[in-house]
Amino acid sequence: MILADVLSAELLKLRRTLAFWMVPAAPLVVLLLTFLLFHQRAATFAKSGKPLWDSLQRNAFVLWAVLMLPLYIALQTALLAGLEHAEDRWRNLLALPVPRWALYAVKLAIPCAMVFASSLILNFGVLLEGALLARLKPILLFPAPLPWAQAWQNTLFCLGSSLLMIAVQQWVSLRFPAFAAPAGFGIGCTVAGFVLINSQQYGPWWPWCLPAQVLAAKPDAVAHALWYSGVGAVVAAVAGGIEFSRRDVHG
Amino acid sequence: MMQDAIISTRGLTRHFGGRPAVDSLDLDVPAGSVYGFLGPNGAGKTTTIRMLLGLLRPTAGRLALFGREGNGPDNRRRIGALVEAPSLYPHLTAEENLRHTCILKGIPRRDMARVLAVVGLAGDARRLVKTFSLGMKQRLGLASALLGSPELVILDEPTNGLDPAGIQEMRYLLRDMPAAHGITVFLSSHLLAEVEQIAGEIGIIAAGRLQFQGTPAELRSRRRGWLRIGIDRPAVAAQLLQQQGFEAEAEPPDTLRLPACDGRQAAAINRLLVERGFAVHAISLAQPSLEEMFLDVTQN
Repeated sequence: MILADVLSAELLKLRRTLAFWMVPAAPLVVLLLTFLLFHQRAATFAKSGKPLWDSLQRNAFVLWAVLMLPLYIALQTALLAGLEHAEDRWRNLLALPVPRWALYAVKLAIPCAMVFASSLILNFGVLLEGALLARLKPILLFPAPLPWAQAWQNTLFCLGSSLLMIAVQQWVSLRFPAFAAPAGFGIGCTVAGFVLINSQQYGPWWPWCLPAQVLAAKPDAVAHALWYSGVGAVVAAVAGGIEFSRRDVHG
Repeated sequence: MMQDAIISTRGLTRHFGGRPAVDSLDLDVPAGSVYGFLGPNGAGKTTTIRMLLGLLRPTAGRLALFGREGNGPDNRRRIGALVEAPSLYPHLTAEENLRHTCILKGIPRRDMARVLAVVGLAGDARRLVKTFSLGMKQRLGLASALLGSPELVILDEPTNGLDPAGIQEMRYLLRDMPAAHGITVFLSSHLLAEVEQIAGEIGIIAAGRLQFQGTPAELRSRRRGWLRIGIDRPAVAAQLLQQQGFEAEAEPPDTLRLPACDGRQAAAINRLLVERGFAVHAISLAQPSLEEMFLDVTQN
């Protein structure tokens, strides 16, 4: 009941915010880029003469998981936390009769839901995009049936592999009032991820590389990424929640 | 702890970097009162309020609200608070801001219309808060604090940024709360003039320590007034009165000052001075104003 009330209040606050509009906007940017890629290079993609669903989905997923998703999480968590940091709104929010753990839990659930919603738009948008490309460029093969199962799997992998990233990024955003701190932290970690992405030693452990890790063909690498992200997120969320609950609000 | 106190603290202390911002505070706020919590800027008022609301953890001491130890969600549910400037969400309407508080306090939405009417914002319910003036935001912050008819309203400098008309409006609103709605008001301010007209109880804090707690009348009675005598040769007259056992002080060029006394004693002093050949041209009893008392208490 407490969680439902807090969630309802937090959703109310999303009205007319940039963070809300980012949910469809971010995946639409990726969809536009992949559309332009396939539309411009239709002849190249058509050369193989094979169905292109896998190729389209992988291109969209790579662009999303490696570049857009980490930046999106950094921006969204910073924007959401900024709603409370501005004018030190914490002082009135935390004076209300709500346990801090419930606030922290919901404030963590919101970016998770946003990542899920955006990934859903991306992965199901890819299916629409394929259908549209097949109409505009008949040489591109996007045969029926549409790969619904793969779209669901990609959506859940996006969410599962980014949980640790969200938990860490959310703690940083709630901890440091200046927008530049969480945004800079997220961008820095994303750039570090570009360097570490191919490292066998560090790549599987760097939270900002985990969404890219689920692209790996090896099932154990995917399982590792999802387990590590999930367990790590729980640890980070509990640690962050404890710190948040004990935090003084100085103003 | 005082049993019938709405707010009661004992030895409440908060240090920042080893320096006490609030030091051994013993507050007792009676139920049904308007309590003015006074002190100069930086005295520790906001730190105290933040501790009462659970925003800051005390370094030492205890606090009780409504006779129950602590300031957990159950106690905070019975409080409406406005800490410093109102912290509203500018991208939401007035009504949406109130709905946010309603949801988190478990208050029916119908109460929003009541509090908006109380603060005179009924016609602006659907306007975005970013279009509000500072005074309107302050009133909306107060409306939010009044949602659900709390038993205690804690307001930190609620008239900050208001124009004189707004200050007066707020003053009337707060003064009538205990009688009209059964609400206890705990009001902090650095302006005595703002508080003395509405507060039945006052606490004065300076340098983190409570310097006085009681009614304005008790504060006045803490320091007696002065008997001022307009006279020629005040230094000689002071010497004469000191020989007679009075604590007289000369205030050149033509005034003599003694601690206030009753009328009979004043007449006796006058007679003595006239009989010894002094030209007494005025006698008055000067009571210190509450403002002087406040300055005296906080500066000491």
